[in-house]
Amino acid sequence: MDESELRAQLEQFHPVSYGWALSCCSCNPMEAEDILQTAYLKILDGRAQFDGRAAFKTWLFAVIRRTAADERRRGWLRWVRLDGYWQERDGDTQPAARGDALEQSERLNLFRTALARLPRRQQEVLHLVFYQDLTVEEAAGVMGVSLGSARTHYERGKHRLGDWLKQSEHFDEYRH
Amino acid sequence: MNTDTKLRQCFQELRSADAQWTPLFSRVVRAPVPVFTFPWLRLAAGAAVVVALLVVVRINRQPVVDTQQWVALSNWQATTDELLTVANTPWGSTLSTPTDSWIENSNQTNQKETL
Repeated sequence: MDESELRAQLEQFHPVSYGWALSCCSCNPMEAEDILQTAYLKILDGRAQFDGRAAFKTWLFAVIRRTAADERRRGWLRWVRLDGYWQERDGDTQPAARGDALEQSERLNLFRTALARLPRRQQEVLHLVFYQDLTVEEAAGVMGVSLGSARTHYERGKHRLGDWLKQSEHFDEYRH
Repeated sequence: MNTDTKLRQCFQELRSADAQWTPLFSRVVRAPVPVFTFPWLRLAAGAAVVVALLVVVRINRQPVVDTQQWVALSNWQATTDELLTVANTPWGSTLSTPTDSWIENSNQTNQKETL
């Protein structure tokens, strides 16, 4: 696959990739954009190569996930250089601005918060299945875990989030 | 409505909300990459700092030799050296002590007892 083809594929999946990047970095828009940029550059530079063993979308999501994990690991180093402090300060202002625009849908923010309370693996598998419409098997491929492990995370996450929905007053229409 | 359907609806709402905030693809690809200094440069700088610290610690640990004090030590003399000189004088053995008379008396007594 040459660069123009890669670029076209990346552009096609860009909106869903952004959603996935957001999910990988606790919904911080600035961080999500940085992760996405690093992942795209990795792919366009040839540092991450698509071998065709999985679907392009699955492979792309795996690259984004790995990039986000690398960024988290480098977090302490950024703190040492004090870059992290400034970035975090800038990042703090972003969700507030975003929050203002989303005031009408407070329930969405609540849902996001409830999702963020789940363990990372559960969040990931639920996002991949319900938001990205992947199968549990494809989600396992993106997450780099076995199908059995992905199923367990999926069931536990679904159960916990379902319970929360039933109890939440903001989701009355979902109550029995 | 089962849990799957409920969750799917919530996630779809989330997806629609996120779509409004998605940055343009061209912007993300063109955005300037943060400049990171070459990692070897950092490693070399770190190593240089460690070496400098080791050198400083090593220099501070070396004992300071005071040559003037060394010379003075060879010339040192104990204040009691004079006593040793007195003991070697020829008249030293002729000096009597207050207890010498006791020894003489005891010798006489012993001689009488023998007789």
